[in-house]
Amino acid sequence: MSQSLRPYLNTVGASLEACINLTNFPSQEVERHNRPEVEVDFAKQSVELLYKPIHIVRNEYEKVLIEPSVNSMRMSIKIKQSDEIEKILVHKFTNFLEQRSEAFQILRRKPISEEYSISFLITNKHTETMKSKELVKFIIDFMEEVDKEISEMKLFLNARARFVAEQYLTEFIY
Amino acid sequence: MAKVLLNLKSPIRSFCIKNDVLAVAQENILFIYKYSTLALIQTIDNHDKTITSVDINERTGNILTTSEDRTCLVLTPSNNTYKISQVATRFLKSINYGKWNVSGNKFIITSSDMGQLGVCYFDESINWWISKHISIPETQLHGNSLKKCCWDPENDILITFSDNLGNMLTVSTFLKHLDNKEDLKDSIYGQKFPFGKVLTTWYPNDDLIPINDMAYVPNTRSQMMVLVQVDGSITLFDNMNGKTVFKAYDQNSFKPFNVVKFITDTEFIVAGYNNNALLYSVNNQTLEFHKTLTEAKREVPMKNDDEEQFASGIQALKMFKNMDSRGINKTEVPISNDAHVMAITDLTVDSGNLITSGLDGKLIVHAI
Repeated sequence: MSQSLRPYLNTVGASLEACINLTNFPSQEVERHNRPEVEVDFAKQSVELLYKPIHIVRNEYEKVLIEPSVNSMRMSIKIKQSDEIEKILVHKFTNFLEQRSEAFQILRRKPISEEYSISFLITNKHTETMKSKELVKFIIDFMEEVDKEISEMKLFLNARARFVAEQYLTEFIY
Repeated sequence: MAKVLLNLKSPIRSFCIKNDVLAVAQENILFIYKYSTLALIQTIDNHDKTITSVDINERTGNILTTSEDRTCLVLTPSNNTYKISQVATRFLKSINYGKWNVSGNKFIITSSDMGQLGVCYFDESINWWISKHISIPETQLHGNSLKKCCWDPENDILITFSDNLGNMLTVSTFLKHLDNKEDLKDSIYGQKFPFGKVLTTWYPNDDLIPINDMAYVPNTRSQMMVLVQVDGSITLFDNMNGKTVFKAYDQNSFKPFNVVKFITDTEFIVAGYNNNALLYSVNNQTLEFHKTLTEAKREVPMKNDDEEQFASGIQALKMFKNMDSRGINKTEVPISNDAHVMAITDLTVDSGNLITSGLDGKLIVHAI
């Protein structure tokens, strides 16, 4: 982890640790239902079951939103996208993951808004089958790795573009 | 020294040990064991949703279960098995908690249904367990879901409970045909106790933070209570005057606790999301931390010899080091089987031993 990224990820990790203490909570609106309260329709939400959301902003390109509730927690990440190429790469990459969200279990099929690149949804069912610490570690690792991955993809893309351009332009050398 | 009594696949949400009977709730199934031999007596699968709490009455041996399926059952022992009776609760939402009083002639249930309580008793005229509701006025109760509750140990008639907005109330469950007026003669909460009368209503710490569990401090004439809240605090609270006397946090984890239980007149145990049970005591109107009763897994850093060996300048070796140390940066002691690796959901003390249940499906006995 780079030194500049460390405080940001440490803050995100500590905030997740504080919010991940989820409990089983049957619905107080619909009988015989047990649903993640953070995902309930805004009009039907019980305000007292939602805790204060946490915004963690590193810069205009990177930020995190954590929305805790009594039995679930939603986390949205904006991955660094400083130029058009990175925007396309992040879109393709997150799309690829979201289409396979069943395999990831805690991954949401869509981010909560266009402002964010990817969202995770952790419910009490997840914390009952997986260790909370490991879940937090997974998300922090993901945040750390995804930047590297996008940078590597961008470098690879540029190298390939250069190679293609060189090959194409050699045709015009007499 | 800890010993694993049970190691089940699903989380244990609640359990109870009384009269050599162990009742364990796992999802929608209740297992009843003989505690001394751990022989399975009976399996109850009448609930079709998660069982939220289990309680056994010491005098009668009756077992009470509450569930998310809006029902609760009373299991009466007969000929080494249990006879199942369903309680007519008339609640439309989940029943979150149930607790017998000491005499075993009635029990209280809390629900998610408009913040209502149910006082249940056996009506011999119709041969059925019935529920009498207490609906708290909206001006005195603001949340819709009620959580845990506790009987006043001094009289077995008053009950204290909280909702999901951190509002804590004490109400009377006095029933003419069951309760004795004399029990309330010395109560500090007044003179008259009609059924459903709200005696106190407070927001402890004025912070609207939900209360996970509460317990009366013994021998304080029902005045002092210990509360554990979702923010991880442990509060010594004066329920008569609505004042916070002392507030403490677990300085190691700051994680919230699920359960609090007194083991002596001054000592109590709290346990929850830090996977450990902690022993505290009430001393001169303060709370003192004594010790951790369950052993936590410790992380052992990599030995210096290994570091030095890898720190030599050979590039290939460095590469191997990087490849090999993925995921083993911290050498961990193998996970000891006799410690909880997930949150503790319930605890009880039996003949000097502490027994805890966890979301990891383990039921562990620890020597105090």
